[in-house]
Amino acid sequence: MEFNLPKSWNDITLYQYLELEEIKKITYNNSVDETLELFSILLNTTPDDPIFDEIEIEEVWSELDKRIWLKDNIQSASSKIINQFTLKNFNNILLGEFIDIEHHIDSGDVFKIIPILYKQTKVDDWGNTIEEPYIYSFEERWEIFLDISIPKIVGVVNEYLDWRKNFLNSYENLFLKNDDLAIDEENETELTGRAKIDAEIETLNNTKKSKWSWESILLGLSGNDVTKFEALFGTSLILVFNTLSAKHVLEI
Amino acid sequence: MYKLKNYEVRTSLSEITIEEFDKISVILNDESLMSIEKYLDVLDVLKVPSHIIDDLDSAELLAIIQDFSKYKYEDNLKQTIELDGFIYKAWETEPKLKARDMALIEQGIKERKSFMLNLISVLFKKDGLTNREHWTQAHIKYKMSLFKDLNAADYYPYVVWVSQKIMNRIETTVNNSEIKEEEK
Repeated sequence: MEFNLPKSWNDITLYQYLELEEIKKITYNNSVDETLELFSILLNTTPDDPIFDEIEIEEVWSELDKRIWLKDNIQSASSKIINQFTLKNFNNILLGEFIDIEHHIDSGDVFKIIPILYKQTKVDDWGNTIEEPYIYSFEERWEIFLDISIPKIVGVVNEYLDWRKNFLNSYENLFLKNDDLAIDEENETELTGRAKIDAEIETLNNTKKSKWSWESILLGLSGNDVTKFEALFGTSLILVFNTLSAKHVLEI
Repeated sequence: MYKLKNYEVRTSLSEITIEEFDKISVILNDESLMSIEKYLDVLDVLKVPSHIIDDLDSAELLAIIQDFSKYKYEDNLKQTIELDGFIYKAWETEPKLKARDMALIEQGIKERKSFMLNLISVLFKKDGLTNREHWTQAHIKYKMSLFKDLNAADYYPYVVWVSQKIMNRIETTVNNSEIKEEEK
């Protein structure tokens, strides 16, 4: 029996990759069922497909051994253009886009940032490249990117996460007051070494979470006027954070 | 067959059933038992009366153990079982171990089912049934109840055949892991 199985990560789509990640969480009754599930993902079929009914075990093992690269890290190969979509300059991300991106990252769906980072663009009458507004159907766009080769996706996600880390570091102390940095006095005397470090990290994280809540930021910037939220979503992220920074410095 | 006083102890594979073979395998692989304990338990499985077992001396037990080891099997994979007017077939033109059969065999090992009985019940398929019907757990369980009293010697070559494939696979997997480790 001849199987046309993928030969490298380049042949694996985002959809297949996500499916492969899912089966890592499943406990199988036996290794053969696990392998057939893996093959079914690679062949875009289901494990109960009759194509697997007559296949001999040695052939399964042999094909599996040829796919040892599935255990290797994916060599990323980011691409500025995917189909008709162009990768956004991260510095031009809008507040609304950033909030959605953060939501996907927090939910563990990091690849769902891709439909937000890639846009359709066109050149206007004055020769400027403008991008489509952020009003398209996320689900429809997600469906398109599910068919893209995973190395391209991984590359962009890594690039974005690096950018995000630098961005958040730049504004890390924006909202912190001196008393936020101190841990509970009662605990301070009791904790030492690693436990103290962990407690400090937790305190900082909790502070950051409460201070950086999007609702409080939006309410603060809109002067408690929810009708202005829509306009804020379309505002440059960097502009918003610079404004917040200025407000912090000027204590207004 | 080993003659002990007036009792004939079944020591050949051709004298025991598949069910007995599996029970004996479990006992012989039980690491919690001492060697002598294992063989005394085996004699119990073979329905040797307790008064015979109680009177056994060490020389007699050793002779029985040696008799067990003498068995030479024929390397012949039977194609069919005919039972109650039905034909159960293990292969068509040549023996092949299908992946889906192997999945059920491996699952049986994990679930500590009787190894040989599960193996034979998976491999021998009733004529006229679909693949889906062959692979249902209820049907395999039914065949296990049918095949348990078959002669173990007739089907022992399947145990060797499948075990060899599993061993080869383990060896390949270990080698592949070592190569991968060296590459790092």
